[in-house]
Amino acid sequence: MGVIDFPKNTVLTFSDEEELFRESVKEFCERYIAPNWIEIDKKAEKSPMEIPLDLIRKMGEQGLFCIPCSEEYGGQGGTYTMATIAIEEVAYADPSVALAVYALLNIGWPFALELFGNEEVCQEIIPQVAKGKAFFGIASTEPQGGSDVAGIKTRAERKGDVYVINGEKTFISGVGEVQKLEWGGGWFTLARTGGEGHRGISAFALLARKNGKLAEGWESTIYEDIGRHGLTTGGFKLTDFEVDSKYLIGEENKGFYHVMEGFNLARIVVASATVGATRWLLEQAVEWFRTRKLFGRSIASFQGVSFKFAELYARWEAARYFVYRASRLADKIYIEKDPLYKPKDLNVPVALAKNYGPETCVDLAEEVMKWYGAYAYTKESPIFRAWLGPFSYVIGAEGAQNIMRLIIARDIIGREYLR
Amino acid sequence: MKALLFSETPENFNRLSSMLKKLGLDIHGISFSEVKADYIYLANERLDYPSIVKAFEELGNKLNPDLYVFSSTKLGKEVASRFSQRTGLPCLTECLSVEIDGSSIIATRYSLGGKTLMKIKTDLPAVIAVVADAFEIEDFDFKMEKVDFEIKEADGINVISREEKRREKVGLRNADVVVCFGRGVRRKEDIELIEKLAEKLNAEIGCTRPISHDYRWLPEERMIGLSGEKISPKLLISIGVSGQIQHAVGIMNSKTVIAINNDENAPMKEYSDYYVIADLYSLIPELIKLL
Amino acid sequence: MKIAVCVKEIYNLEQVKIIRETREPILDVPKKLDDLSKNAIEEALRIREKHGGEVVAISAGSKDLKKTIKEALAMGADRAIIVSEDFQSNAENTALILSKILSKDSFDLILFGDASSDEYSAQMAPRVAELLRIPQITYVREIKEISDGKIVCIRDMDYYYETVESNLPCVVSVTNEINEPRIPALKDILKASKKPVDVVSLNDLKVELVNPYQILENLAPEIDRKQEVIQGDLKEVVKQIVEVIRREI
Repeated sequence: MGVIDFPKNTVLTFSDEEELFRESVKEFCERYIAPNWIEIDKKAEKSPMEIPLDLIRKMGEQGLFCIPCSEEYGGQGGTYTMATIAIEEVAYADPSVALAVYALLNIGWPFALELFGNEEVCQEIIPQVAKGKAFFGIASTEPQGGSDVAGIKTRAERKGDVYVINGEKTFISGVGEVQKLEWGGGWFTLARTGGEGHRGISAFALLARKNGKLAEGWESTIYEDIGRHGLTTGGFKLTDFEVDSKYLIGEENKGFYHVMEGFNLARIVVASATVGATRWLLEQAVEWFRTRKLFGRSIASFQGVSFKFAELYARWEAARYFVYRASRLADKIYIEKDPLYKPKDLNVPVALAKNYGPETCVDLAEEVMKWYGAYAYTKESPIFRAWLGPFSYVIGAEGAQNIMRLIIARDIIGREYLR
Repeated sequence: MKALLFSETPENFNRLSSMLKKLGLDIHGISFSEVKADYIYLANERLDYPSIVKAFEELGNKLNPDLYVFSSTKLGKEVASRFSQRTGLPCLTECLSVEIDGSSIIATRYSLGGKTLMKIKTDLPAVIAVVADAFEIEDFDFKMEKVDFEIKEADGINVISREEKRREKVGLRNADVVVCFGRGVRRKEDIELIEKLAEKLNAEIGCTRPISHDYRWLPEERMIGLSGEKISPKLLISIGVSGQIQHAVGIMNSKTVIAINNDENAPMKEYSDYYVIADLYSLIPELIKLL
Repeated sequence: MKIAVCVKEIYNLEQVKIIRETREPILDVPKKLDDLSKNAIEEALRIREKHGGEVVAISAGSKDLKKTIKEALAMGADRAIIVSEDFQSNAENTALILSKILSKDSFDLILFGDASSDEYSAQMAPRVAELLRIPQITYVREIKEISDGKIVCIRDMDYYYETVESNLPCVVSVTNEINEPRIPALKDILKASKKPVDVVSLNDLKVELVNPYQILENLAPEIDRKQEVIQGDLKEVVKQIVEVIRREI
């Protein structure tokens, strides 16, 4: 609606291509997403397997998935900043962030696959994901916890040309989508191939379904989430699940390092999604302030309201800086392959963005609900949907908030002082 | 001062001749039927631009009018523009009002997509295309002299066929109560709900452009907005209308506006006296019951 | 087929705000390609898909046009010819510039949007056609046929539909109902930066600009609505609406 325009800026600047791309995504979202997001959220709230397949297909045709993946793998040949722009706009149009999360998973993880996976597997998976015919996300969390990636219990045993995997994954996005999309899909998955600790873990491209055929040894459940219903969450059990060795991503027992780079990439776009949803919330607030009167005066004339708004507006701008600073750095490392920049340089910038974006969004949503009053507490108002969706990222999806703080503190103060 | 006027419909012609008479102009007009003017050039009906431009050139040379006037219909605008380019005279289309200021005219027209009203001045002689709906037909003492006139065929395009649009007689412009709906109404069947409400209120039904032009649920003459009807009812009830500026310019003269919308922040709010935030599908049936 | 599409950059009207006290518009907003121009480009691309040939985007605008024109190239135009400098903008001048550019080449078809979303003047297509001394078919809702040097179109007029035939070359202006313009994907946008844009100067074109219009004011109309919000319990809401209705009629 353009109530909140991007402020003129000489630090956070975009190229003509980037601005044109943002406009094109905006136009797509105005046409297909903004008018439908509430309906999608409502429908899937009732039955989680009501997946917006047509829209996913359209987003695929528009080229909103696999944005940084190379064209030879069916990707869009764009940059990570382009991906970040797209996700910001999709989340602005769907502040429940369901569609943004669908897209960002299918940007971050296929790209991580391209970085470490073998060519044949990339050729098999990425084009399908790009077209919106397959899902490819991340499956690392297990029943005993998510933050302790190094402690996973799922085991993969090598038997000749295959790995036989046994274990269980929980709170995994896309469990419904891999079953419903035309081709299928799966996850960047972790399993233990060696001893205890992070040095005994390998990463696999685990396909639960391909070419419309479900794999054997894969049993799933779907959860009922409180928000962002347009994307399914579930769990799955692996019983003697066989994976051809070509699906090993990168080197055996190096999976922990690979997945951490993947997480860094995914977190940038996660933060971007919440920054997009925050812009929508800011607009709801401003529109409300401009028309709502209380005791005969505009409610923004109460400084208790306007100061809080100013503070949250400032946090939105700061979160945007963090997000694009991280995406520009990701471009240096992974797209331009500039030797001056190393993957670990991303740790703190990403943690800042991932820490700041979701918290700003959720804090603002809560305030907007209060400013709106009782109406916001009814399901007539869509604001709670922009609260409960992004809330998943305060809880922990793609890394808990305290893990982000830990990364910042560890890098700045020094690992040895935190023991 | 002299005006040369053309309009393809007698109604628009008469509205414009009344407006011009008020400005004190002598009116020469080309028309296909009986109309009100000082000099009526009753002509054979030709609706292709090359012939009309040619006729204007011919008559213009003879009469040397100060103002060439068309109704701002699509035909009017295309003829005005081409005629203006041929003669080198300045041209303003979509004029909402016109006044004479010495040897110039001052016209108003929407600008910036209807966000602003522009007042613009240019020297006479000039070509203008005026929104005829903005003026009433009044009784002036026209000379009513008839002159036979032939619009000769000119080269350009070949009209193969013409199909009249079926036009309902719609009383939107003079209605006291109007119920107008937009894309918030999701299915064609749901128009029944709107009709029931309109019936209770003895209201005319209007709609936004997507309803008439994209979905074709209602005939075009029910479209309210910049390129459609401009209404001035005592009461407008606007249902599921987002309030794009192109629509809003058509409702500016309504006395009281009630808007019903489930989007608490649609632009329509700015154009409403009462902005009802509710789901139209639960609200309208209740409203009908109580009326 | 060699197709020219004349396009216009306009202010992003959604972002144009009004200063409440003075009712003046704030025009310090980004520019974009007009939606109706996009309908014209889309139609040109569809003709190219069917008949082959080249689509050239042509425009005269401000310095921002170098950027705005990329939208046309991203949609699929093969190249662009533009004037990108500040000049007195009016229908006369723009028509003159466009026709000078157009007459340097031989196009079979010259497409326009039927008007522009900002000024809605609808003068450009007929003016350019007149300057080039070729026929015009305005307000086209459907292009029926292009063959043997002729074009057949259906026009959507106020009171009738009209099927019209013309020899090529010809100027055609299209309505926004003619098609749904494609939204360029990232790949198209990246390709667009490599397409040739010929920037010509007014000096080279040797046009004599005129300025017969004087804008006396351009202000937002006064909107003085109460903007009272009614919401909450459905029964209460309905009651309040009924009260208003009873009071007003």
